[in-house]
Amino acid sequence: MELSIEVDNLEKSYDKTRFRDRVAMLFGAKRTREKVVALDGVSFKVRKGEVFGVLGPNGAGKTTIVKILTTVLIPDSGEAKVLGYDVIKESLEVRKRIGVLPEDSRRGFGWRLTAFENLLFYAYAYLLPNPKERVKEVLKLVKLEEEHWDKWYQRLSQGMKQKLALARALLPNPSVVFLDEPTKGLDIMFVAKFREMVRNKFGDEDRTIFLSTHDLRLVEETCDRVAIINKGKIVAIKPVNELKNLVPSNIRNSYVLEVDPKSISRLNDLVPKLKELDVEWYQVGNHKLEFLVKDCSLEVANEVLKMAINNNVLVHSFHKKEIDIEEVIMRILRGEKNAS
Amino acid sequence: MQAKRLLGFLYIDFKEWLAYKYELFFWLLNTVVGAFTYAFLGTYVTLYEKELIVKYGSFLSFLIVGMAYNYIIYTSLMAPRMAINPWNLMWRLLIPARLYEIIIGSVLFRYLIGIFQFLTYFAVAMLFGAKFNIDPISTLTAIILGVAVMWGLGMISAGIQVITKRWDPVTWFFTMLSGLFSGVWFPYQLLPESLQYVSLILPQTYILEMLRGAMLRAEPLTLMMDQLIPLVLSALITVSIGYFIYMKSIEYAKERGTVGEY
Repeated sequence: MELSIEVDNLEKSYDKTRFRDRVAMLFGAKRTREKVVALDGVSFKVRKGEVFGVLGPNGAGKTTIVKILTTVLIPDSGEAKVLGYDVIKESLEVRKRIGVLPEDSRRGFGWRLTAFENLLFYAYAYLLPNPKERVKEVLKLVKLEEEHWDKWYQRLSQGMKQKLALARALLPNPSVVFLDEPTKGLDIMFVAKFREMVRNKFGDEDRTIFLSTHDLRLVEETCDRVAIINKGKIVAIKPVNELKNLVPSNIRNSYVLEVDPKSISRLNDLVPKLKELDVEWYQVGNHKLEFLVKDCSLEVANEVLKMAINNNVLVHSFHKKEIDIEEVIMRILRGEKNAS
Repeated sequence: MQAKRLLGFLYIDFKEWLAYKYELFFWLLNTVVGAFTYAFLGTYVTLYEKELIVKYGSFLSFLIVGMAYNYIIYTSLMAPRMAINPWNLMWRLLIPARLYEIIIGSVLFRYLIGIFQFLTYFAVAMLFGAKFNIDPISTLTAIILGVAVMWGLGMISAGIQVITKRWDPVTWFFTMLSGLFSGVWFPYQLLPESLQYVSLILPQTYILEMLRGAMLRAEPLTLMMDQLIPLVLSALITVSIGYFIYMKSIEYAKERGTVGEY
């Protein structure tokens, strides 16, 4: 298995000691160093050609990982390699082979340079052959309409600026693309196209995509695997379609019976009888009953429904609980992970 | 050093320079008006000490060399700082270029317009009758050594600024002192003797003395050992210390995660 990214036990903390305290310490004063742990023993591997997502709340350490892997931040300890090159010792080799869309993608653009001129500079900086042709290609690839190519950067809309930043990331035809919050500011129409582009790895099957985002739909529709990070630690790494298995089975496999609020007392009357059926777990809410039956048996679930109707409970709806990726991640982050 | 990459830097700086049309117009106007102002000033103010007249010829020739070179000295001092502008630094560090390419690339265009300004001043000064007697090797040596010393100081200054973000004592110290003490506007020998000691600790004084010797009296290097030796030593010391501090400060910013911060 060919690997694009190897991260082993990365640790990073930021020293938040105030300047005046640091100066005081130089002169022998006793002060405590304030440290914020950003990464705490993070390890993972990303295969060549894989779309790998990193999800987590703000401040979880996602951007820190991206910055380390793109060589602009030095970790305290641990090792990170991109395409076999060490991100600290061989940073130049890494930078030749990656494309980056950073969180603040406006940086590094001349505001009074046109979209085309801005990219042309990077084409020269990357020593690309036929720089003008490559710039045109990549602007077409990100669907920035030709009428905007000659507009000053500062006159482009937020979405166009983001497209241009994406074009900059793809300009050197990189083997690995790092996308940090790529859909921020993009219009709805383009987001759909963008998801398609990520799925197609921007036209190169062997390209690896490293995606750090809050956009759960993007992750769900594009990623092969996803790592969930919280407080600097990886909580889970799974293929997207297996993420739901991390949630306890009573949440993921339960049935929901929604009833009219007037019927809630009659619903409560049923509770003792549930145990006579194969109901393993249940929970009565304001106007609903959630329950889990052995082997998710639909027959048993239907027995519960029949029993409710026979007891004159007014049923609004009856369905198997749908759990979406957002809920899965929320529950994983809250620590409700399936022990199995 | 990749010429194509430097061309990229030149390209964006040139395009951005052209994009600010009013600023460009007034820059050109300032250059021409400035050249004429100093030419008039230099023509009608005269050096009255015989020793200085022998040394520098006319005040006009003296002034124009000082003025023109002052710009290049200032650009050199500022060069490493321009390369670490926080708006661009992260992106500059992301391109597959070595740090020295990034620094040189970031400042190349400013040198070109500095040379343009330099030549304009000389052309106008010659119109007003200034006489130059140039030794090319000495002139080039003076320019290279001057740029090297100032780059060294500039790297120290930029290194401090990567950490402090705003406060920059080195540029402040050297630019503040150079106008009064180093002999840009008038010969430092006109200062009271006690203040001339300040002039003698400033590298700009030696750079300007050497340059004037090379451009006004066509002195060969062998006659300029009093400037050459201190400048070579200064260049070695400031460039070594500056490079060390500059690299360490970038590393420090990369460790603290403050590369893109103001």
